[in-house]
Amino acid sequence: MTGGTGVTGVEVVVGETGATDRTVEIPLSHLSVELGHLYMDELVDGSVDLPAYFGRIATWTGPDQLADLARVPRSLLRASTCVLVDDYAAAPLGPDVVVPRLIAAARSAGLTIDYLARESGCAAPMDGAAALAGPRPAASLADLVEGLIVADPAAGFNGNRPPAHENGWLCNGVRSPAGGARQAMRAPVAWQPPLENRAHRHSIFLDVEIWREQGSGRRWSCPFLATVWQLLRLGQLRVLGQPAATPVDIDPDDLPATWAQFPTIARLPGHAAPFAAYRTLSVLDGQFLPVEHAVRMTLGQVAVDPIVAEQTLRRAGRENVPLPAELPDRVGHVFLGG
Amino acid sequence: MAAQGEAQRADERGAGIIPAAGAGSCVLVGEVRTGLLAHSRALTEPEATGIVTLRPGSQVRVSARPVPHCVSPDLTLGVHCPVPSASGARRDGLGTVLSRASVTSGRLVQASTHGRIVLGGARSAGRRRPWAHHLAHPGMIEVGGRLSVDDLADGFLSTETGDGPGSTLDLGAVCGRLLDQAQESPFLDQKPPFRARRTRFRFALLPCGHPAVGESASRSESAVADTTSGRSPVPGHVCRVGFVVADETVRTLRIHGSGLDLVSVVGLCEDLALHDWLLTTVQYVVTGSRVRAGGGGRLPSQLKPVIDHLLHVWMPGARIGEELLPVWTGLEQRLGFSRQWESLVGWIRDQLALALLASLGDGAR
Repeated sequence: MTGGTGVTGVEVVVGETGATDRTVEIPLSHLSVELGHLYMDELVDGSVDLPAYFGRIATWTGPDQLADLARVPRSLLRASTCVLVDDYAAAPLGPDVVVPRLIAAARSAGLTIDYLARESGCAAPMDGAAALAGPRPAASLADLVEGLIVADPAAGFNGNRPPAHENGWLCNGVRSPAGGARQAMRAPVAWQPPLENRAHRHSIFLDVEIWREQGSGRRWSCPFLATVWQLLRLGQLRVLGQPAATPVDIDPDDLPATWAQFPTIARLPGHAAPFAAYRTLSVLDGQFLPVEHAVRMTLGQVAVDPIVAEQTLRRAGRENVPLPAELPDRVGHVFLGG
Repeated sequence: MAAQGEAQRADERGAGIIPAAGAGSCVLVGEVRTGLLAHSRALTEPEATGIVTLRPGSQVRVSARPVPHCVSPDLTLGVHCPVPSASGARRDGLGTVLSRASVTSGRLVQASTHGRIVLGGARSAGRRRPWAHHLAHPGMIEVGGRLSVDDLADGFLSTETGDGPGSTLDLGAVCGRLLDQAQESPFLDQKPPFRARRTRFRFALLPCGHPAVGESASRSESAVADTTSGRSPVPGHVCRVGFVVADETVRTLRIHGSGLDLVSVVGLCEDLALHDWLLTTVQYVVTGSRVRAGGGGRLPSQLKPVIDHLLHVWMPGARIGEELLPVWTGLEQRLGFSRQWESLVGWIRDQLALALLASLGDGAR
């Protein structure tokens, strides 16, 4: 504000509400626990013994373990559970079939699913008034997050040219020069290895496809949608200061037949703790390790709204919850063997 | 008004803007580029908002008083390169710079880029910190190795950037691209009412005096925290200001101060750059008119767009916080920005009056 005691000795404070940012805080649990992730095919062909699957997850998600991971006493723990349904690529089965099956199988293992989300919701046009407002609305949550990417600069990047925007790819270092590149009348350029920006003696170079143009539009990659999913669970996404997605109550006895009619994040009846949380834990089959490696790398190159970041850190401080400022450090995984 | 939004943003950022423990002294460097919007008429507020909405889903800050003004959200860019140095010392910096674009009065467009360079921080030798660490401290560049604040500021202020190769930090290029991006917006018809040159305004904020590195660190940290929380026991103050008109389009400003809110300093520099551009542009037009004024009492044609589009934009210091007003006042006293402006405006009004008299005379004949 422009204020002060001028010649009149009167303090003048001038405000204009339009000029002030309004950024909404959302409720936060201590821990958001993802109870596995299944490919749609596995649900269709019935190749996975769902009760046994959830049974293995349950061994890793006891209250003591969760309180430990959340870094809070068990008596204070607020944790919510969630499952993301893999419906983006193809969805032969609708919510009316999949949801009851998942709920029943989890229950047989002693687990309660608090929230169910659909992966396609991260790529679909956003619902709610926030999505429509503003001169440049984000087409989807994935679009929103892509706009937040701040690429890890390679050594030598000083801003004098635009950041390398490699059509839909994001990496953690310097790519190997394109194979077979040759200048006219010269021998092929000798191969050079890629380089990880933060190599510890040796590089573990990772290059992740974020999207690809396909047919009518952009197809988002599974690791990128999983990154969006982590950011939603961490409560870090806003559109014009409003929550980018809010859980919607659903009635498990009255489910739609198609995922398009299903909310992006659905809350099942019960006394669930808030969906978003300071930290996340995902208990997944070991086959998802490469995906989650990509998720962690991408999360490490997402710059969320500094106001949101600050609000979250300050709240954690008030609650005496230790919380790292770096997003990848808030994300935990358990990978199950075969 | 905007300044309130800035104060609140700064407050929200509070802890986030403070460098990690063990950091050394810090220099804020930045560049502002100012130009006339490539459009035949003044933009309405929704149009101006459209120009500065540079990222989907992000908020644009709009204020209507004293002149319409809208500012984009901060854009973050990662850099890893040597920071400027007058002595030629090569010290690598790693971190991010922040940029924003703004439209004032639907007529003027600015892009500004800044970074807070933290010298002598406890950067682990050899291995980088995770990139997420740098994203958690937006607008901060950590420099390993020894470098004095003066060496850095002198190097930054004296080096022309944005035009060529070079390997040191190039805020001018980042800023120039952002201005281009705004000027290439589909909202604009690319038909400005007159030609006006872009100006470049580089600034550096250094600590007061030359305290020891450790002392400066604790002072600047606590000072930032204090002013941004609005509960400052010792209000921020400016010790010394140096303004240099380097050439026709380049200006530099060097501020020594302590306890200042960095967001406000950037705002001050944008405001100074805007008024300097107005002065430079109107003076250029007036000089041209004087040369060409053929008498006969006809209003030189190039004055009309200036009257239509620029004269009402002059509002010096309107968005400036109290602790920075002395900078404006000081520059006014020494350089007489407003006196020069009044004189130019007076001359234009005289021409207008003469033209009116002449046309009345024509009518009487």
